[in-house]
Amino acid sequence: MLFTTLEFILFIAVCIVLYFCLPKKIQWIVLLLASLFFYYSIAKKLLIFVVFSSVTGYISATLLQKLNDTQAIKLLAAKQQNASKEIRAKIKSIYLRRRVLNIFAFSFINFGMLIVLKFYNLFVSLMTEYSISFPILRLALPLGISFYTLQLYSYIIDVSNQKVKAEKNPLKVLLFTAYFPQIMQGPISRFDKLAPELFSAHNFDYKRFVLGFERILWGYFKKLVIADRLNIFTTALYSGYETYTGFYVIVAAFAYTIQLYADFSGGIDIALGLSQIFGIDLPENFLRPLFSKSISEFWRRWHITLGAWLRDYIFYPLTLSKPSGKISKWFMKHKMRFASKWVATYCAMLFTWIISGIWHGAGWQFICNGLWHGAIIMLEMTFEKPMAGLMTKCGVSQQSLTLKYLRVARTFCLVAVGEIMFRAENTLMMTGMLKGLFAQWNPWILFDGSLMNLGLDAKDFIVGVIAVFVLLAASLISRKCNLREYFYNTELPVRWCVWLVGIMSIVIFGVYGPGYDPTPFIYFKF
Amino acid sequence: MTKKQAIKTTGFIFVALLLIGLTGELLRDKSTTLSSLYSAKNNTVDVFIVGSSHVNSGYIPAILWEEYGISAHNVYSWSQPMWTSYYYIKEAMKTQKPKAVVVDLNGLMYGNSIEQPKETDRVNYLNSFTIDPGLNFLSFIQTVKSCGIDLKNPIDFLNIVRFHTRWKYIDEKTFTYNAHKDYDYLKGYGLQVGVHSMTAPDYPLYEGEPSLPYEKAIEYLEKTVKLSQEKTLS
Repeated sequence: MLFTTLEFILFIAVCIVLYFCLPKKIQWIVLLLASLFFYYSIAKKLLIFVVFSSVTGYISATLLQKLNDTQAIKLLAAKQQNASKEIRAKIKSIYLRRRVLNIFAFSFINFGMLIVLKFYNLFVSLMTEYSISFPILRLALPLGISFYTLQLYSYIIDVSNQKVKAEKNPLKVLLFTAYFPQIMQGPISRFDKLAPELFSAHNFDYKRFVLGFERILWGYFKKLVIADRLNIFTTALYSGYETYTGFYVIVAAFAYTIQLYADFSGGIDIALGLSQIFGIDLPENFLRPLFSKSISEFWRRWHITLGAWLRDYIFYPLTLSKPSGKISKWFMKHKMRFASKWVATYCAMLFTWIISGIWHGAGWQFICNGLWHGAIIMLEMTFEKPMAGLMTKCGVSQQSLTLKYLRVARTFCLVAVGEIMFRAENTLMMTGMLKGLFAQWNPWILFDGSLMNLGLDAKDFIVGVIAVFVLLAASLISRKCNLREYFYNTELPVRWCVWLVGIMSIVIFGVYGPGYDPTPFIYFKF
Repeated sequence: MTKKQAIKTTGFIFVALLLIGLTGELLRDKSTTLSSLYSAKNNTVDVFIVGSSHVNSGYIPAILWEEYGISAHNVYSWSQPMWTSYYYIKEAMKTQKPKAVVVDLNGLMYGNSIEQPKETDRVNYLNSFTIDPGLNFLSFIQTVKSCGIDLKNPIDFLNIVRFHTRWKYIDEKTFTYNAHKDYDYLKGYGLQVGVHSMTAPDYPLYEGEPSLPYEKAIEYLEKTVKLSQEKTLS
């Protein structure tokens, strides 16, 4: 039951009816049962992994809560007894050690499971190259494991840091882990934001219903009309990467960047729209990323929740860690001010981007993609001020519109190069595509109809181009106006016409049904 | 949800479904191999030739008429198994009383006796949705189901899902074609244009035990013979 099947549409219709018709007290149970049913319908027995992870999350958070409570009681007692600072520090240190042990145990189980399931076979293939043989196992990767593992980790860290209280009901932790609109591809929510909305009662709100419906419609448009149409084209180009070089690679990179955005943000729109109907606000994951003026800005606007997770749970702890401080001090001591400022940060950043690459998949291409983005961000950080100074000296205004457009175009090109690596199925394909980029000068393929022989005929191409134009135009307009609110406030006939045009565009021009292989969302595999 | 909102929502769902239904009907591929049968005047056919594409390309009703004065029609579909032939004949007998029915026994090959039988038979099943809605069509579906073919309900019955890609091929005929009115002058004959040189394919000699035709195919051949004997004039 993928998001793009008729069964899923019927399923959400039933869920919405049950959710608002049954007593409010059991709304969260409806969501829990729906989530378990949804996951089971796709992954069958692999549901056990989700249940297991949430049980470990529940146990870990409960123990952490107990440790925090006991520490607070002991500190209070120590304060009342006027105990010395050393005694209080010792108490803190004992409980800190226990908490770290607890978090380590949780991480060992859950990230261990993730690493084994995701990377074992890659490890085996690497070892084979060195003539060390391990048995290849047929390991099935539970859908959404990368997402719900991060989500649970953030939960227990937040409990440990006393940002949230541990949930006493294990079924509620299970719902937090398995909430069906988001389990497959995020957004990665935080417990303090999601839990209150997930477990509280919600009245039916017609406005939320309409806005949610509009968002779901927009998500399906992006996925079925744009992403899946472009997928036919990019698959043909990538699978023939030895033949298609030069401008073919450029077109493939641009097309795949748009495809990935439409696919991922389309899925997120469906998840957010559906949640909005339930009265639950999930965090935004995209903010017009294709219009970013730098790679750093791009990552603040693309897959926002993953970026924030990496920042809060990897980058910040690393930069604020003792070793990082020691590195800075060492450079300072040796009068290397520049190095003292940047080296620790760069090391933390490099590590974070490697983790980001590894999180995306088992393959060097993902690590290369992570490093590519990390390296560009480091360059941007290093040269930001000198470049700004140079621009001022040359009399170029930072506010110049032309400069802004150029920066957007530059960022898009850099992202597209990264996506060449991301889309490649293996390192051979990645290097083949990157080499192909410079192998031939053939701009005429853009005009001589060669692109029409790649699975999409002229009519499909025109529909694709118009749809991409609609996507970009909607992104631009939404900077100044909330389009969904705008349509909600228009007269009924206008509103209905817009919705009907949307629905008919999807059902007529969508890539689905016999003759097409159903294409799962790209991020479903992570 | 207030009463007004409920009415608005229901109204919109109704309009949207109606529009989707109408669009599906518009885009549906209405051209049918049964057009020769449906567009013929009642009781004007002497012989029905029923079977697969072999019938479509192998028999020329115009020559039968010119040389023997026989009014013949080809009633065929691609990769037509025996049970489809049976239901096509039943459909034909509703309006015609032929003197003879010629059945192409190539249909015995289909059903679990050849490679990928279900896929081939499923394509034929989908092509046979051009049988007019009615009891005969429902019986046909039941039979197809009993032959183990994957029916994929309800998708098979949703025109918009099956035919939505036909927006590319919309022309005047999409709006005007009517299988019951647009007479098929070739009477089910598929005119093959062009001459190609061929060399005899070198098929490997089959060394295994010959397998019997699928029992359902035999069953429907027997039914076809019985039906033809009952309903034909001769």
